[in-house]
Amino acid sequence: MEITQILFWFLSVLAVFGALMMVTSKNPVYSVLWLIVVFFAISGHYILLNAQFLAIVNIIVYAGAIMVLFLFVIMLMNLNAETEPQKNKWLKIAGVVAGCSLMLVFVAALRQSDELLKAPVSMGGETGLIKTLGKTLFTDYVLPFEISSVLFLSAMVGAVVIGKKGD
Amino acid sequence: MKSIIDLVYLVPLFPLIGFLINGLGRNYISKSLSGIIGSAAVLASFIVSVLIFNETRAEAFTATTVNLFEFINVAGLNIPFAFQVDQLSALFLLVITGVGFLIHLYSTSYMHEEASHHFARYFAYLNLFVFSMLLLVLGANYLIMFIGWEGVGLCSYLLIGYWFKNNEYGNAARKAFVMNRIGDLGFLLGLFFIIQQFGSLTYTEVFTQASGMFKGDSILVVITLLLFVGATGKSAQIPLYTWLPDAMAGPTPVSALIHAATMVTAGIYMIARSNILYTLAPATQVVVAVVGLATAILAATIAIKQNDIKKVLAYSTVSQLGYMFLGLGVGAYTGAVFHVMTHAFFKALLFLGAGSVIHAMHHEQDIRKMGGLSKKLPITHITFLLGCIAIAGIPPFSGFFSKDEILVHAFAANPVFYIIGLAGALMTAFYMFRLYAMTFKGTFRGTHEQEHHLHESPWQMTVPLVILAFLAVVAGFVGIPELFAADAHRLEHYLAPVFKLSTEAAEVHHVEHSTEYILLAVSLTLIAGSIFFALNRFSKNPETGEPEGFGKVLANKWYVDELYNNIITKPLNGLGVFFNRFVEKSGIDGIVNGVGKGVQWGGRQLRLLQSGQVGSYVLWMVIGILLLFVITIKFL
Amino acid sequence: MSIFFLLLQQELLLTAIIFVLLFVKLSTKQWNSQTVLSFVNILLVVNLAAGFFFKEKGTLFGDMFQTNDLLRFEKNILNLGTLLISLQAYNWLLKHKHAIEFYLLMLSTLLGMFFMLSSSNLLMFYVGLELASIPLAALANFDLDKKRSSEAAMKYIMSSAFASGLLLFGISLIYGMVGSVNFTDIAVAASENPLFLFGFILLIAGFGFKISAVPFHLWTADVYEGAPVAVTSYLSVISKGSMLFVMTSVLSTVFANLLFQWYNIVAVLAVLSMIVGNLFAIRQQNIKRFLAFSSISQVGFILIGMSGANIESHSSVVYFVLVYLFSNLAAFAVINVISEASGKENIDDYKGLYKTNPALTWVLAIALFSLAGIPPTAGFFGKFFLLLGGASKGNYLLIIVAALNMVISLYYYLRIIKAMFMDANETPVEKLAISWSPKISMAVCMAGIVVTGIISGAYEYIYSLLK
Repeated sequence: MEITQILFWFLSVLAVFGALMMVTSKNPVYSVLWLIVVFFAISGHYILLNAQFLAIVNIIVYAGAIMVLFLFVIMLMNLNAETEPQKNKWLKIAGVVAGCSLMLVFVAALRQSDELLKAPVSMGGETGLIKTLGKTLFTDYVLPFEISSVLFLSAMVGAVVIGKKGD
Repeated sequence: MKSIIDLVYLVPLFPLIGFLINGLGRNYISKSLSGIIGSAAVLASFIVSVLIFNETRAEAFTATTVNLFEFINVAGLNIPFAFQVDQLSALFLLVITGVGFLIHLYSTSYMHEEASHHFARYFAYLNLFVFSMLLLVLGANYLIMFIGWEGVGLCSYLLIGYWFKNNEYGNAARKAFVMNRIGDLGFLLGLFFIIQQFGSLTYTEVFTQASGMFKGDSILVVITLLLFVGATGKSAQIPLYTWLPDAMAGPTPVSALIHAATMVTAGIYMIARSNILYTLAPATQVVVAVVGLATAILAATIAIKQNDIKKVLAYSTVSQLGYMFLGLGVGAYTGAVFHVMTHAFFKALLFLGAGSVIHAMHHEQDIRKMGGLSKKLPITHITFLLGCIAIAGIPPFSGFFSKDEILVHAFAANPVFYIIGLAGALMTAFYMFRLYAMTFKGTFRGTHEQEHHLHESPWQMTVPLVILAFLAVVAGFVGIPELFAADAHRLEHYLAPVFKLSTEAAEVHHVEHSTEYILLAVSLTLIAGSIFFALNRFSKNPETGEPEGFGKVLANKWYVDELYNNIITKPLNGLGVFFNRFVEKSGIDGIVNGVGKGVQWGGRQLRLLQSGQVGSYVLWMVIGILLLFVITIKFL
Repeated sequence: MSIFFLLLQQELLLTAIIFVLLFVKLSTKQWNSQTVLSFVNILLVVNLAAGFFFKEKGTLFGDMFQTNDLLRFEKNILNLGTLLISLQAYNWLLKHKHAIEFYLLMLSTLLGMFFMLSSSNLLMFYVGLELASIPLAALANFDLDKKRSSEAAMKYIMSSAFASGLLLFGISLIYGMVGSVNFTDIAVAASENPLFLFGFILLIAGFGFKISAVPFHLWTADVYEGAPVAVTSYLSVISKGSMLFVMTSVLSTVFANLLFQWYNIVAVLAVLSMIVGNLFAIRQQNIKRFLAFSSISQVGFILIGMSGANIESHSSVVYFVLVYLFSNLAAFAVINVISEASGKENIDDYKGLYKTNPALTWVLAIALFSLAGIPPTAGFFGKFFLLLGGASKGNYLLIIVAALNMVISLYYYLRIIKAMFMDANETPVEKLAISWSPKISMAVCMAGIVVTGIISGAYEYIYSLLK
């Protein structure tokens, strides 16, 4: 087994385990911390795929900024295990059953696909560098890129309007 | 050459203009003016119709299609907005605008107590109805017929619900509309099948193609059955007849126009128009005949025990419509159309007479509280009596000729049809004279105040009565059977080109003249007997109590309404309640409500994500995806 | 260079308007809100009119952006709807502190829809979709002091995020199988491979969420009820309409190979949507909730048209969306006026409306008749063509179910009409003075209902665009 494969399995197990723990832990602060673990594991995957820039951005933005925001909200609102609303038991069970069935269907579809046997496309070491990414982004994908800026603008406007509610 | 036929668009145009003027200006124009506008519009149409009718009587006349404008023209489907003028549509034009005008005239007096904008609204609806009905009969393809078809349903809805004060009227209106709509479904599906099969909806094309098909072709059976479902809705046949008696909640002239003379005959018109399709589908013909016959009998039995003057007439209408369908079912297309015509005269007469009585009695409709009105309302009395004789089928009144023609054809097709039909005719004579005797004979049974105010109606109401009575008496002479005089059936001669294809395709049943004489003698004796029995029984001892035993079943209309209510309306409502209460309220809202209230607003925001509501959205989405995957795999 | 501007005309104009409004907002001068609103409405009229002047078609940015006559027409329909909604919202916005932000958000979602319509690959489609969804959540929250409104926004953003997640997962699976997000590549590579199908189904689930087809509809009623009326009408007509346009063309072009699979899926969604929408609509008390369920059942009908998978059925969908726009917006115009003046939104409050406000009653009645598909209103022709399109597949069972549902729907539409015309009410809505802007909007809708019905040229025009 090569080192990349070992890393792959390790990161995958870590990501799935982190996600499960995040969903099941009672205390919201723990949930957030587990989510950070998941993000780190996924960033590791990005590095394995030669997407270095993406990996760094993922850690900075998600694991850094957004998660800190989450923690702030949770602490400011003083949410903890006791204030968590009671969930409907049946809904939970139904959710688990439905989720598992979907998983099952997905795995079954995956197994039937011979596509998996094909050789994976390997990317060069250059692929994920900022320079390459920037070039693609500003040539082939310039339109979606620009539209995203409009999206951010309008999201900002929306957030400001909702935030100014008290005035 | 420019002939009057090219101006056929004027016929529906006048009522449309009348509708627009009365509808838009209802707050500005006076009562008498809106009455005049409404009536004049229909009168103008009537004059044009007469001129058109005159053209169509010419020997050399052939069916003409007048193209107005391109309507739909895509993907090989071409549906022009066109009118077809032939003998059948010309005849219907005459009846609709003629009877329509008389009823408009009658309404100007009958509705006089209404406030002025209500009055204008009433005439606006009435004009819109006439417009839709004209569209229905003039259309040169099924789509235009369908638009008129739905249009008359809509107007009927508006007019039944005209008196908004009463909640029951609103429900009756809704019932009528929804039941009609069930029938319309059949029509609509029939249209799709016709498009699939013939690639066109234009009559001439469809019929020419159809006449080349084999008799009994299954696609024809399907099409004709679907169209017949549409006809049962509009023409109040089993199982969709219960709306018509309820529709009597509307003003009486409306009942006369829509629920007796015109709209309810739309189903007959449609089948008569598509006669070739039916002739080539014998299986459907049997269904039509049996349903018609069953309706005729069922409605007649119910009519025997009704005490509301309008309800009796309503069930009688249902029953007479049944006869018309019997006629269509046994291939007596001319007979059915003939009966439509004579029925329009005498039933409109009877309804307007009833309206006159109700007017005099200050909106009392219960015949148990009437009696002895013959002296106070002489014109109404005489005309009503003439109407009763006509519907009972006593020669030489009009009803005799048309009903006899249908029954003779029924005998030729199957003697059992004839016997049941005759039983229905006896009941008709019986309940009509029961109605007559209870209303006009004997002694007055109402209050003193009512008796004091009894008066004959003004001329706007009596003139239409007299004209209709005259027509009810003499209209039969256009169709004298061969039995009495050779070649005297002018209506058959006139309509022959319309039913030409059917006549060629159908096997001719012939009845011997001697047999016909016997049938005639038997039926006349029985009918006369039944009339005398009814007159004797009800003139002196009117039944004023509540019916018992079997009579109660009849008085309650065989409990059909209750049956429908229990098997259709209640489960549907129940399902709605179930979904609302259990799935929505306790399932989803319950979870939300269960969550503690009064927590901080901010906390509430986050909580909403977890409260189960959004969770259940997501759950259903996942289930949906699973479902879609199962479907895809299953059909793979 | 000029072709660039011509092809992107509709998008560029919209972006320009957004930026003008941004500068108006940021300027130090305090504008009178009446002036601002009139100014915006004039800009929207110009925006709508300009769309009719250009005919250029082609692609831009490699394969990122395409436009043609049909897409232009569809965008014009959306422009028209936005203008009508803006007119209806006039009185509400006059009192609102953040009128300009309302337009900023609404027009950016419209821009998102335009790019979504013009997309020729899944990436552009997704970006456009997000631009068309995220600001909508802020819009749903625009009744700032009402809790229901915030709740609606919350529910919308959460379920929308989940649907986007599904969509993205589907897109990534398809990308993984095909190696490209380009529509033409996908069309060639589309196969019955289970993994591909799985991605495809997730994609359809994303579509289903936006058009609120059963069982992806659950957010609809709550969000419609809570959001301000203008936003509800925007959600139910513009947002839904744009998605229907995209779904129809994507299914019939990109996934033409999988016709057999998606035909069954669409048929099942159609039947479920019609039945569930109708059954829930029967018992609703809140009129916005009622219209939410009625719109779900309308989507069921549209899906039947879509299942035909030929040019006729495609044009019937576009035509019906146009008709639906007029009918639904007419209904919402009345609801808006009444809700704005009296705050009443229950069907019981509409009892006896005819006595006090006959004109409004007629507008709502005609709109409901059109939704119920009664001739000669446009709604009838819309349904007629949809069913005709669906019938071309020869699945008559589907048509019969649809026809039955038309009867059920009539039953509950009549309930409102009866309440307005016939039921007595001791405290009816008082007589309302209607200002010019809702009046114009209602007049346009009424004209639309009558004209697009009787003169079926609209359908023929759409058909000719598709050919």
